[in-house]
Amino acid sequence: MSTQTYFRITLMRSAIGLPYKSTGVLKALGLRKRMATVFHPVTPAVAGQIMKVKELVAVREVERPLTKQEVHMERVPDPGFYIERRLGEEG
Amino acid sequence: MRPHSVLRAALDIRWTPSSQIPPTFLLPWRAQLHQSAHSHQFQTELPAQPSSQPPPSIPIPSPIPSTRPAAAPASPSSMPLPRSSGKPLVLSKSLQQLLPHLSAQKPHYISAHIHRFPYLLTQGDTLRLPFHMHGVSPGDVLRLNRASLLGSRDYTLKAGTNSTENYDGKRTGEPNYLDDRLFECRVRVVGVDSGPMVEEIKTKRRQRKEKHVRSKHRYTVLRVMEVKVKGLEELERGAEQLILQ
Repeated sequence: MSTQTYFRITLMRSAIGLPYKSTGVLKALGLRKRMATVFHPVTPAVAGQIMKVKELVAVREVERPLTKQEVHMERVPDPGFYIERRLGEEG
Repeated sequence: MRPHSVLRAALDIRWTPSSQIPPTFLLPWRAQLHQSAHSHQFQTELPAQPSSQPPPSIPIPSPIPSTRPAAAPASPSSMPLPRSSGKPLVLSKSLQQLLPHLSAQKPHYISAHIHRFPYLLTQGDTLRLPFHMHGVSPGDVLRLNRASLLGSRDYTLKAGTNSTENYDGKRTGEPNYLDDRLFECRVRVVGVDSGPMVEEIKTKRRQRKEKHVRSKHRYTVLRVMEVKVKGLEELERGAEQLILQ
């Protein structure tokens, strides 16, 4: 393998009402609640886990895993403004 | 040029005098807002336009994807975010053709996004934000640099739609914005408005105690000083990297 890539897995639907095996797979993947995002290396074991819960998660292949803070910052919106001139400053 | 007269010329639709108001789906967006008030004037005052006029909508073929710096400051900084500073400004052929028409026709409106929420603004508007903007004081001049829509009476410049494939990106992603070098929008902080004192009585079951919760919210009030769409000459003067294709 030349470069290690990662699965970016986001839980879109909860496993409430599904067989307990699905809950167990999600727990093994580290997905506790909806819209949670985890990163796992691309291996056959992880691919098999994703296949078990493929109806519940959104998966993307990425180059590097993001930290929890970086995942959060993706959701923070752009302010959309900046202060051009303070009161009293020359224009 | 009137939008629906152009459409009428383009589509060869003949309005009967009894139905003076054209159907709303044929009108551009700006005209939909005011069609009940002005549609009769349109019919009587204005001469017919030749059908060779450009269409009222100018799509941007390749919207600039939203790129966020890794350590984006949470507080409003005094410097603009370097979203599009590194990339050259690409103007397509249709944009080169139609941007002079848009920039020449005043007044302009803009759909500016503050914290991702859109606000439809034009010059002279007073905007009461639904929140208290921290870090600014009355008299400050803010520059709005995220917009999804620029327009005048007959022309509209839209950012393209988001064409993301990943499912979670649709929910969390930023909308597409126009390049912030195409326009200038300045607002001045006028002051801080405050809402009424709201008192809510909270009770629990099987108890006589009432808790009174009082809240009073403050809102920042802005006034739009300037909404300007830059013309081609100004873009050529200002931008160091400009690609005309």
